[in-house]
Amino acid sequence: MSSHDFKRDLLAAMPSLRAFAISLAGKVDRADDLVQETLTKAWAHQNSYTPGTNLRAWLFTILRNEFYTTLRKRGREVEDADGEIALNVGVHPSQDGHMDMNDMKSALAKLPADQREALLLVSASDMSYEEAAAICGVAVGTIKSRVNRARAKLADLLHLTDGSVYGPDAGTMAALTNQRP
Amino acid sequence: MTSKPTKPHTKSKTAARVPTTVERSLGQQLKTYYDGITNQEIPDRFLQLLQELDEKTS
Repeated sequence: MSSHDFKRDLLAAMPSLRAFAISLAGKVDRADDLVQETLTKAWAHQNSYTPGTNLRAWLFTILRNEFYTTLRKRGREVEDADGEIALNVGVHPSQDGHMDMNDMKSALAKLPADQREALLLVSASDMSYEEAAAICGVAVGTIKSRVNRARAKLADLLHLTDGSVYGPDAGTMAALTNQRP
Repeated sequence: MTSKPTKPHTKSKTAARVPTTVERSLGQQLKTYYDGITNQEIPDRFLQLLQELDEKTS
């Protein structure tokens, strides 16, 4: 793969890489530093990338490693005192008022990092459970479990219930809850 | 919901799932939130960085 092609593919992956970074790190300036590090490393190691494989997953893996390395280096000081990350993401509230972005931001910030990243990879970044497991270096079952926990906690934080989603039919839905699709 | 006592780190395969409707709604909200970020323009610093890296290499 030529450097030119590699650059083109990096550019294509950039928005989703940056979204992952921002959602993971919480702060845009920190996230952008992470993206910068990731791009620099990816460029330096482009020969170790196998063309045709999932470039996004490869980049996400680098970024994630970078994130946790930095976190460890800085110690726990990066976490705010109350354990929440101040998510100052520059997103606009949705036009239709259906949902407040700030609610999602602060709810995500309240999740433990391992659950947050699992959910972001699977539900927002369109990674398969297998890809997410490879990126995080854990078993597929662990990812599934983290995603489930993250969803349960988010639903709780955002006050999402069957009733609030599709009208008050909680009884029926409760019965469906235990069914597997 | 039945409450079988499960220990936190035993072999229980996965955590309890949220209802499908809730899962779907959450997924949509998450996507909307995410799209708000992915639709932003790529900051110039990254375009410059890639340009510099590319020039250094070639």
